[in-house]
Formats: sequence, C-alpha cells, structure tokens
Amino acid sequence: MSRLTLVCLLAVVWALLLGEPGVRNLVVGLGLGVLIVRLFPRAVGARAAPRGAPDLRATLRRGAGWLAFLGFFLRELTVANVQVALLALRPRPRLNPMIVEVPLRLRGEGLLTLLSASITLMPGTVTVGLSRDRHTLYAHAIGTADAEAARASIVRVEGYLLALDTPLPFPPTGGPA
Amino acid sequence: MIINLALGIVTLSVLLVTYRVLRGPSWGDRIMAFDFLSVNLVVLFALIAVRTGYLVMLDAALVLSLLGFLSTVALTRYLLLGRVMK
Amino acid sequence: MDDFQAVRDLPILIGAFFVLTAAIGVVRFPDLYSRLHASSKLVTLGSAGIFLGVAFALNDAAAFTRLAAVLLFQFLTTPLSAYLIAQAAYLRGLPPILGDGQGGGTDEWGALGRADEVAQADREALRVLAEEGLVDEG
Repeated sequence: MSRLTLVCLLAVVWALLLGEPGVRNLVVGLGLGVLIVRLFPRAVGARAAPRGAPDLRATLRRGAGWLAFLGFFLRELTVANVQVALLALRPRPRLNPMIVEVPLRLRGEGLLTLLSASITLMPGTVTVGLSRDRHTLYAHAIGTADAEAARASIVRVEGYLLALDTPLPFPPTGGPA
Repeated sequence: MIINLALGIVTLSVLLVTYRVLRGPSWGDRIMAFDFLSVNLVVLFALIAVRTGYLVMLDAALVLSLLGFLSTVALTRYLLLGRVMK
Repeated sequence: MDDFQAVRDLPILIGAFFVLTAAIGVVRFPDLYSRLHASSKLVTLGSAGIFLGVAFALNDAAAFTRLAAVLLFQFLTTPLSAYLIAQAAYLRGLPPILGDGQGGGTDEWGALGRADEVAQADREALRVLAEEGLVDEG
C-alpha cells in the first residue's frame, strides 16, 4: 500500500471512530496519519507511491476483480452460515472432520492473508496453518463429502484471488522498499 | 418488543458459551469461548444502546471489540511461545 | 412506518438466531477445530445482522459510523483469531477428531507427534519476533 493511500485510510478511520466525519476531523486525522506513518514505517509496511502514470485499463480490471470477489465472498458467507447452523441444530450431525493439505499457486503475503482469512468464513473450511515456505495451506474441514471436495472449494477461492495478483497491501517479503 | 427478544436470545447464548469456558476441556477451547464471549458482549452493548437510547454504549462496544481481539492474540501467543512479550 | 419496522426487525432477528446457533454449535460440536467453524462463521454474519438492525433503529449519523467501524473490525479480526487459536492449539499438540466413525477423515498435515516440527515453529516464531525487536533472542 502506498503511503498516501495509507494516510488517507487512517484519516477516514479516525473520522469514523470520532463519529463526526467533518472537515476538521479529517484534517486532524490526516495529521495523525502522517505522524503514524513517519513513526512506524516498518510496522505498517508503507511504500512510496509507484512512479509513472497509472495504467487505467489495469486499474479497471483489478477493480472488477475485487468486485467479483466481494460478491462471491458475500454469497459464500451466507451459504456457510446456513450450512453450519444446520449442522449445529441437527440432532446427529455428520461432521466428518479432517485436515486437508492444499498446494498453493498464490504468492504474496497480503493475498495469502486474504485467502486464509476468507476461507475461514467460507463453507466447510477453517485455516489451521501455512507451511514455512508459504507454498502449502492446511485447513480443517467439516461437512464436506471428502478431502477432494474441501480442496476444490479452497482452490475456487484461490482462483478469484489469482485474478487480482498484484502485490497490494503488504510488500512481498518483509521490510519497506 | 423485538429488542427485548434479541437481548434475551443473546443473553442465552452468553450463558451457553460460559458453560464452554468453565468446561474446557483444553486451553484452546477456553480462549475460543472467551473470544466468542467478547463478541457477544459487543452485540449486547449495541442492543442495549437501542433499548436505553444511550449512544455511549456504542463506544463501549468499539473498545470492547478491540480489547477482545488483542486479548485473544496475547493468549494464543502465550499458549504458543510461553510468553507474551519480552 | 410498518415498512420501516420490518427493515429494522428482520436483520436483528436473523442476527440473533445466528448468534444463538453459534453458541449451540460451540457447546455441541465434538472438538475445538469443529467449534471454531461455529464461532468464526456464524458469529460474523450474526453480529453483522444485529449491527445493521441497530443502525436502522438508532438512525443517527454518529451511531452509524461507529457501528460501521465495529462491523469492519469484526470482519477483519474474527478469521484472524480463529486462525491463531487453531494454529496454537495444533502446534501445542491438541489432536483433532477425524472422520465420522466410518473412516475417511485424515490429517494431511501430520505435524502432531513430530516434536521437531513444533520446536522448529517455536524457533521460527521467536526469530521473527526478535527481528521485529519484540523479544530478546534465546
């Protein structure tokens, strides 16, 4: 995330927390944001904005990708909730729990974080761990027929995220550039 | 009134989860139940804000949700590493 | 007025239902990893529904922004804490219950019972923390 985006985000969060998003609060928030990014440059992983004119078409495509992912995410979240609620209320639930191993094609800390967080909220799977080289994900699955089905549902989410494969929120390997 | 019904339902779920905190059996269960409890209390505060009309309750809910997450992080870190910091 | 009432009440009812089923799941499911399914998924949508209903009921700009902040924060942190709890419990050696009594469930990670893997994860985590200057090495 570029420093400018981060400062703006911090200002908006500041105004949200105060509950009165007026001009004065936004200005104070901007000041605080600059201060925070100055004080903790490593902790927030901020980078300088990329040089050169932004590629409009790529930005549009990425935006469409995010929207598609958001819609998919909300639909799956609802399905997951109904499924788990049914399992919790059924007198003898057939959980069939297992831990599956999923080889990942996705790279980049930010997208991996998003993947593991979103599959925790999607039907049947909860992230339990990542291998040390970040190439394999381990997930606990309930309510799925077999290991293949659980793996397929994770790979489907990964497919959406591969489409927006840009090193967004965090730099790929620690430290700011 | 729907708010009272919702308050009752959420209180019931707080009681159910308290059983899980006391029963365990593992530390992971207790930490998970505590995390659940903090989210439940946040929801309860939001409902009380509607019931009483005190908007201050929402600030309490906000602070509680921050504290709940931070305590979960600290507890799991303690479980995994045997220390929280330093 | 009646329409408004329905808009306010329905999300609160749905949310309260999901929160209650989450509690039932947490009490009924057989092991920690299954309980995490209930506590992460159901609680997220349940609290989202209740916050939405509360926002409509209060109908106030300041309340709306605060509820939006809480909701956003909830969505960001619930999966993270579920992941942290599952990983800590697994690496500390809590065995998951596998299969439904007819075979079929397997643990493909299999790090349990391999003490060196756990020790390695400990060292790795400590090294990362030391790099950040949060703990003394060793």
